[in-house]
Amino acid sequence: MNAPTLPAEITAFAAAVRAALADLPPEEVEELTEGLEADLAEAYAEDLARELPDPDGYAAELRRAAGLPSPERRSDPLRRTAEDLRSRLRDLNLSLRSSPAMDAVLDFLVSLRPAWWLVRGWAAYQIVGVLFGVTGDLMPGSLVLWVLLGVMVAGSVVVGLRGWPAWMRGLIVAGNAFAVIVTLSVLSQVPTRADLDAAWFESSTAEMPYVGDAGGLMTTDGRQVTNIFAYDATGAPVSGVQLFDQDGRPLTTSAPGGDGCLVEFGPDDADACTVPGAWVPVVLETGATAWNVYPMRMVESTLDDPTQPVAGAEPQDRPAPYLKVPALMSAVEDAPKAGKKSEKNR
Amino acid sequence: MDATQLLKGVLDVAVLAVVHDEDGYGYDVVRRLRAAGLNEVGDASVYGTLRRLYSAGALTSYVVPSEEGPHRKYYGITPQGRTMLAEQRKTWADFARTMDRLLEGVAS
Repeated sequence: MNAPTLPAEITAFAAAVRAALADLPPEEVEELTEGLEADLAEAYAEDLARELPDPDGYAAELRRAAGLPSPERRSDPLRRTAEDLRSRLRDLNLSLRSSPAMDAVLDFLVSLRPAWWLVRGWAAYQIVGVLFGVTGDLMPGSLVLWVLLGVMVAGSVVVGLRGWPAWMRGLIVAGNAFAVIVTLSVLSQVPTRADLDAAWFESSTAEMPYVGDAGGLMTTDGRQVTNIFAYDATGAPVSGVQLFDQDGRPLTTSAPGGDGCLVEFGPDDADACTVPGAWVPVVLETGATAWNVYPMRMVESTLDDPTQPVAGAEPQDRPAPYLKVPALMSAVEDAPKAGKKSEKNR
Repeated sequence: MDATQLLKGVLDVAVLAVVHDEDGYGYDVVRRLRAAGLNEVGDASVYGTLRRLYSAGALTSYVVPSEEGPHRKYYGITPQGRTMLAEQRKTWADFARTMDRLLEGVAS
């Protein structure tokens, strides 16, 4: 019906006339205004100087001549408010369009309507997705969801392309408002680049970060590092070593509350754990709890709650892999000095 | 006296007469009425009248799609419309004769 050859004013005028008749049954309005655009277009093609009359007056004349009741007789407060709003919008539209620049801007906005139909289809997809609990994502993650999105977009375009009776237009306006709200609220939850950066920064500067690349845990040759044993220059074990990385971040093998195995079933079978254990942090002089002090000790816990120490259980040292390791060449060459030093360290 | 006021009473019969000659769409009927000398006739009044005559069964309507623009709604007269036209033509003729006589009497 709205062929592209129709001037926008005529389409707008016909729509305003239909709006003024909106209190009549939709079929009546359709019968009364069918062919209106063609008649108007011909009349104004004949006489270009002719100005479009007031749509309300035009509608009233149509109504009178057709022997239909005037709107006052059946208007209720809600309808009056709606009509008042409509006529205000119409006045606003006309006054805005009196400026050529605004006229062009409005025409441009009207030309963007198909883009809105796509957005509206997407919003409908979001709503349906939430209702069925199948998606929380911006875009479909599977073929079925793509089909759903396609159906929603197609439906939205059909709604946009067809002319509808007044009561449907009311529903469409309400639906549009809802779609705008859904679109804005979904988009407001999308993290921006800055949000992502902030989140990364936060996690990387968290008090006790994991280290390493295997799921955030420190590994050697693919096996998780759960504890660290340090030996001094003479090869003797050292306890209470605080480790930090190049940026001064504590080097930890276990998250706060991390758990492990206190008594393994067999030396080569790390998966079979007879008694689970929770890693025990060390308290610093500042009162802070440190998880980067090695070798870390472990306290007995239960399988039900592996991170929670069993009441009354004492932290235990973990068996060192070596009682002693080879001394450094420099320490051996300067034996007396190294020996003295190691005595002092004890 | 305003011709528009007079027109209201006779618009039905005028429209029926125009459509009786040949089927027409809304603006076509308006044009033919104006060509016949009824310059005061309003577009919307004619469209509304066509619609009312259609509801009363005096006219039929059919839609003709257009290639380059919106489609047109044509109206044609029905047998009932023809009867109505004949009756109103007689009513108008009697009324006009009466008025003529009355006004001629005043003039002379």
